[in-house]
Amino acid sequence: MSSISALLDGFSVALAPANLLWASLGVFMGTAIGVLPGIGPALTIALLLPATFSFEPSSAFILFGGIYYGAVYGSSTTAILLNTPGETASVVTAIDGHAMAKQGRGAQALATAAIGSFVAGTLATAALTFVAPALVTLALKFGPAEYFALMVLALVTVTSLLGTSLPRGFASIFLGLALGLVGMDVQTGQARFTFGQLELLDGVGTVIIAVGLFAVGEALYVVARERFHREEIYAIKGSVWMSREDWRRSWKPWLRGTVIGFPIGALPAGGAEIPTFLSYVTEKRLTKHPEEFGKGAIEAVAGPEAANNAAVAGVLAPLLALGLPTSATAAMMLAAFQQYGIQPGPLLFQTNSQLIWGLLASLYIGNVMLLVLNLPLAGLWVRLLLIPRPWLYGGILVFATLGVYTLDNSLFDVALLWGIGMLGLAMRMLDVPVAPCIVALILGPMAEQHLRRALSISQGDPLVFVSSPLAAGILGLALAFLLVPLLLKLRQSQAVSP
Amino acid sequence: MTIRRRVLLAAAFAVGLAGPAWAQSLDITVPSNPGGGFDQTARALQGVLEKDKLASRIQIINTPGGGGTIGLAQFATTKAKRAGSIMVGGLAIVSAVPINKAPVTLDQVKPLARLTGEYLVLAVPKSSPLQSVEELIAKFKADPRSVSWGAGSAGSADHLLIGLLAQAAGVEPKGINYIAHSGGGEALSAVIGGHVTVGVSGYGEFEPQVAAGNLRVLAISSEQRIAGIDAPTFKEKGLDVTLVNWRGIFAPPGLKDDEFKALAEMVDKAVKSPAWKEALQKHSWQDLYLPAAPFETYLSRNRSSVTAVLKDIGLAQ
Amino acid sequence: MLRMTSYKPYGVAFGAALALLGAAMIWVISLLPDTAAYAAVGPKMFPRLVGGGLILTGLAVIREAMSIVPGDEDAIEYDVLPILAISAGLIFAAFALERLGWILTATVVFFVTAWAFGERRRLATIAIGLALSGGTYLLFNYALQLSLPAGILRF
Repeated sequence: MSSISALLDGFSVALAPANLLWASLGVFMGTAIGVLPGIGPALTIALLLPATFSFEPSSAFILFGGIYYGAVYGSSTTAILLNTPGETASVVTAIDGHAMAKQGRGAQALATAAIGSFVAGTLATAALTFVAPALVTLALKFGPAEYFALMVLALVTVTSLLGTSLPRGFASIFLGLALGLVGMDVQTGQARFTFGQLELLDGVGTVIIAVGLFAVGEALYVVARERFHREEIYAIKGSVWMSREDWRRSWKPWLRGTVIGFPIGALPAGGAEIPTFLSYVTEKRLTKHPEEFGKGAIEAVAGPEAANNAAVAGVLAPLLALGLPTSATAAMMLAAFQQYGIQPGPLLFQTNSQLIWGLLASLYIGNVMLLVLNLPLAGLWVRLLLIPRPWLYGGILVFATLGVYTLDNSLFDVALLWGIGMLGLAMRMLDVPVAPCIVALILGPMAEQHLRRALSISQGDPLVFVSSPLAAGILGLALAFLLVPLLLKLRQSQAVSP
Repeated sequence: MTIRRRVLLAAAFAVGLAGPAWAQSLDITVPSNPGGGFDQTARALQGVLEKDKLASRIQIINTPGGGGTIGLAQFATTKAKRAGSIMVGGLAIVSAVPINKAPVTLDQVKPLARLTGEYLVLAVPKSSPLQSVEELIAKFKADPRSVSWGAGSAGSADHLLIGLLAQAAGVEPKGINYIAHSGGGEALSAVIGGHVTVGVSGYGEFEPQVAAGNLRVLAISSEQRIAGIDAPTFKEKGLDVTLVNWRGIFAPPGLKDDEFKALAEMVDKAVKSPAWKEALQKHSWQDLYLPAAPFETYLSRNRSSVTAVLKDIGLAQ
Repeated sequence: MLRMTSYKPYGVAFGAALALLGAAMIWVISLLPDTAAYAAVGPKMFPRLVGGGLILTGLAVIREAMSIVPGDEDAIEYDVLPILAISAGLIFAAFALERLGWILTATVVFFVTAWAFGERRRLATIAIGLALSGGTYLLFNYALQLSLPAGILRF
């Protein structure tokens, strides 16, 4: 096959000592910026762009590819250890990952995230190598109606996060939906719930809400309870390695996460968050230990972490195959291509095959490097939790402030962080789960926009959601996700009380 | 230690007096996220200024939000008298100020130079039955809502163009079926996928898809045909519509005359350098350089015409 | 110190707050002028749905809280002072960050938080705070070329 020989050529480019150096620098920098909330890979590439002008194009892209993959790895580390997701794609990881960390299983959580990311990254890069063009053709079939159906499917996730009280779970969802409505309406340009504040026109940033509800809210709650009930945090309890049981429970979620993440990442409006939600709900439905979810189930870390890495590779598919940037980072990579006078698109594989195959090969190598970098470090990272609590929480709040401020260089956001933190505190005191709030906040606005676009295009005809087989199929799947557990419960209760 | 510190301070002061501060350092406020049009303009300018040694230690500060009005407000207030500061701006901010009823307007900054611009095009997917802009306009006139326009956010240059087009075609501008997208290639994929009737965008974004045969350009918003772009102008087709998505730079409001002049000279040197021409070509931007005085006139005319279109499409009062 | 002996009054208050928020949303969105521009579904429908949802969940939360029989819950106690201390630190940061600069502001946030958590070794805390904020400052401003505010420590 010509792809394979081209890929082998690519490896000879990527394995050149200088390029190996760039790849390792890229994954290192990527991991570092992933750890910091606020600065993402897009900004980093923007900053590096002028510096790389004199590079060989292949070296620059090998560097950028490493940064891109590394950032996803890094943000899971802080999500698990400090409950402070660096990017929104790691919000789901924080739920069970941090619970594991508190029980002294942080090293295992980091390991399953690292290995899962490696497995997913490698498989998804392989998929990118061989099926990108076909996949992109399919992705273009997604219009507003199909996206709306996908959002509905993803919203089913929240049913897995509701906790013990249904009313309070729904309260969290509606608070998230309400927060998501703040800002300028994309369709009409009208400001909703901004109360004349320009800072609110673009809405309340999801990273601010995630960091505020998780990190600040938790710090406030813990400090208020410190004197009465001191929850022990164990850095390490027992081995730092994954047990046979951990492996057994992780490998299927890794693979399923990959299968969910890659195609959704390849969708122009897919992103890396939705696959993590879908992976979480899938794992909860399939596991033999649903009672552990939310309290430190390893599947709930393995699946979403694989999914977000696979999605990141998926984003590269429309970029390389069509020149279509579908995330801020992809847009920066496109700008980088253009800096070298290269136009990604259908012809790229022919006109610049050496560059592309070199990039793909270095993505494989970057994945190996990330595993090598992260797996041994897992045991080291968890020692962060040995820092005395006052200093640990002091550090967390300093990082939260830093991340939120650097996001938009805005002091308003810092004040907002405190406000959202207080909301998180109140929710914890009232035993209201915070995760549904964030999921609803991310999905609500997207669902609204796609629904309204679909209905405007159809001039108000609601049949668009069923006349498209793709949309109807996804909606059917969502319904099945909702109803199947309900039916199972019903059958169980009938079996118990005949 | 205090003495040494004082010496250092004195030395720093002396260096500061030796030449205008901006000759050493310049900060460029970009009122949008990294990667957007303003950001690319700033980074291209940064490259040229550094390469030609017109300024060193250039720092780009991204302050996104509110369609650029937040960056504008911050620049106008916190940098009011700082000689080494400029801000990138353009049509998008001209339009965002009235839409968002922003308290700080472009009156509070000083126009320094118009730099570049991009013309907008209408394009349809290759599978579309529409072959020409006449067919599109006929369909639009017959049933305005049957034409869905896939483009950028509400009030963007794309939206202004459709407003102008509706007026020229005699269709009520408020009735257009505008499908707003929030960038990131979303609008482009909706057009290629055939989910909207027609796409509107700067030519640069559509160019690769046109080259690959995925899109067909119906018309371009320039006065005359542009070399290298196979598309008629609206004017040729009897529609009196021209629009350019221009970008330029602004200076703080409180500069002394000589400080402002120094900045203007720096920009004048930069836009005449070969490095700048190269950057324009790379991004397929048009060279629309206007020095401060004519730019000021252009800006005030541009602002009133944009506000008028926004009123027509129902986005501003 | 705050002593929550029963969830009941708090739950009722929370539910009422949710319902009020929902009603306020519906009212605020009705003040939005109607756009003349065409949209099959306008910008007001979703806020109304969410507002309605908030009212219904608010009522459900109240009902759930009312059904609690008092007496079988354990009282939960909270310290208010440390919450106020950390809040003060964050609000201070929102005002002082650009004037005082990152290094000093972040050190204040660090110190106040550590103090709230019961740390009383002041000098060690300040030293660690300065190291942390100074380190991040150097990383951002020199390695990444991003400008964290220097504030009064301009050098």
